[in-house]
Amino acid sequence: MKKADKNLLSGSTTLLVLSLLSAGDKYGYEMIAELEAKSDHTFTLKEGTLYPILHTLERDGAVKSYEKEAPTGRTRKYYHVTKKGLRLLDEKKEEWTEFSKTVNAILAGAAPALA
Amino acid sequence: MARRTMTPARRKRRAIRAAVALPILLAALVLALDFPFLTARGALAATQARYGFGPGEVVTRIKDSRYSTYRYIVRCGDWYASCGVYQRGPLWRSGQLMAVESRPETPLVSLIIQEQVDNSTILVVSNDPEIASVEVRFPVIYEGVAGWKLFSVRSSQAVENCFFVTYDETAHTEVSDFPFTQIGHHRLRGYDRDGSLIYEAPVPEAWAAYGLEMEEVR
Amino acid sequence: MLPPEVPHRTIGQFCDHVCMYVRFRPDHDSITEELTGHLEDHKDALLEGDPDMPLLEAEYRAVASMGDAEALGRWLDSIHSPVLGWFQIWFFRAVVLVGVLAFLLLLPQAERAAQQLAARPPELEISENSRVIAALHPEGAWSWQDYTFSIPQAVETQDWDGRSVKALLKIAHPNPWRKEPVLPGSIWAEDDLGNRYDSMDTVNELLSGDGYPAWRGDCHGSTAARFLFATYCEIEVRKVDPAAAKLTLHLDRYGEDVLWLTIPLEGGGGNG
Repeated sequence: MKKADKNLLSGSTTLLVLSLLSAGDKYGYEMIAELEAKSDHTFTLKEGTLYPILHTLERDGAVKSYEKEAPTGRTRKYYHVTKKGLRLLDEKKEEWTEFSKTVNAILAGAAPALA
Repeated sequence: MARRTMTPARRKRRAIRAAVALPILLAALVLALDFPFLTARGALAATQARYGFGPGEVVTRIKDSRYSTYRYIVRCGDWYASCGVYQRGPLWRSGQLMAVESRPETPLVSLIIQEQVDNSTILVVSNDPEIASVEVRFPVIYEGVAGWKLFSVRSSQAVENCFFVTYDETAHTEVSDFPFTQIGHHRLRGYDRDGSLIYEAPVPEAWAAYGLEMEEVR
Repeated sequence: MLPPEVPHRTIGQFCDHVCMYVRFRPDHDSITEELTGHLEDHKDALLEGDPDMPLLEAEYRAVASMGDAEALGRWLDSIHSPVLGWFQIWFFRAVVLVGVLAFLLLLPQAERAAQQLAARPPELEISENSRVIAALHPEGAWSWQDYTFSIPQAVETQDWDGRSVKALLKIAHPNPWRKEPVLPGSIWAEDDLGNRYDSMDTVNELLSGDGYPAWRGDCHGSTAARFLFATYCEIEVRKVDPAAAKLTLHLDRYGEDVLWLTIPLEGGGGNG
């Protein structure tokens, strides 16, 4: 996977992950399942990108992990978004809004508004 | 920790806790070791400070590997001191200090530096630049000979104006009962480069008790 | 059925394959644990949706949907830095070593260390033969090099020898590496009448030569207690002139007169 593609993909995936966590703590597979459900099965987050993104966010202090025992007896690793993570989420949301505005403007034929 | 896996987050927290504990543990370690010094020079500074000397400049250093000791000869103004520091493992400790004043009217003064059976050393400080070698004369008893005779040890081994006169008792088995390391029982002499005697200290008062003849026996 | 070109892999095999690309070995266990948990969750979800599916097939499907093991491994490797990881491990081990050393070395020394840290200063010892005439209150402190001198307690006594002044001299050294100063022997005293009370060092020097006159007073100094940040000495000035009203302690170091602490005496000279 080229580095540029990785960034593009991880940019929007990071946004989605942070957004999911802002609604409450979740464990890995729970995030995959919820995203599928929310997007009505049109969007499947590629599982192989989830954990590198979570580990990067944890290393940078945007999320924290802890362990909780599931009713099945297995210990699950839950992720929790920190204040730093919520700030990062706002940043990413703004980035995404700007990005989609620009794309829409190009598609509509008009020159992009200079910021 | 044996049951739970070590994760990067746990490792980081553990390292931070260690960093917080480190200064406390170091303080405990220093206290347990009774405040040693990391360098010989550090111990030297402490020895001088504790005796209220100097701080002076180091003239030279004598090493005694047998006891892991260094003796620094330090000069501060007219005062010359012998400062001991000793090594325990990689760390140093402060030792003792003895000093002597070199007054302008006395060309030679002496100070005992080391007192060991096979290696005693006297420091002789010279005020006179003409003096190239010094001699220490002291009373001894020869085996089987009655009465005290004069014995002398000569040295031109010097660093700047500090001469070192050493004596090895075990090398002179024919001699017994000699106060090499008793300051009041010496008579100092200074010789110039050609070997002529240019200074002799006054007769020590203690010699009156020995009833010495003024002849020399080497 | 899975397409034939997808490699059939169990959860364990997949995790091992991923970890092959992660250089920092200490994190292999935690990565394996997390991926295994996820893949088992996925496997359970698949079985829930299709109870007739063989267990092994559910496992293969779950692993397949995780994607390329090498890509995942390389990406994780870029996040789990070996430099930082090994530093954290060795730093922790080093601190543990310091802790163990400190404990092992401190244990036999516990008594000495506790005594050195004790904050309570000693008090002057007055022998039964002396009668305390007055408690004195000298003020002030004198700093010199690494030491600060002060007199927290002083008394005047009368005994068979005559008039004596006993002072507790506190030598403070905030730098614990300057502890145990060897100064009390060179402390001498002088009263306001010009009488001199020689230090221990001077007295010993004269004793080995001409001798010291019995009628003369002297200044006897000795170390009473040693702590990390202060050393206490007992200074006793003996045979003090009955008419003296002030006593000044001096420290004479190698030709330099470096200390002046004055003790006002009650009685004598007419004025208190």
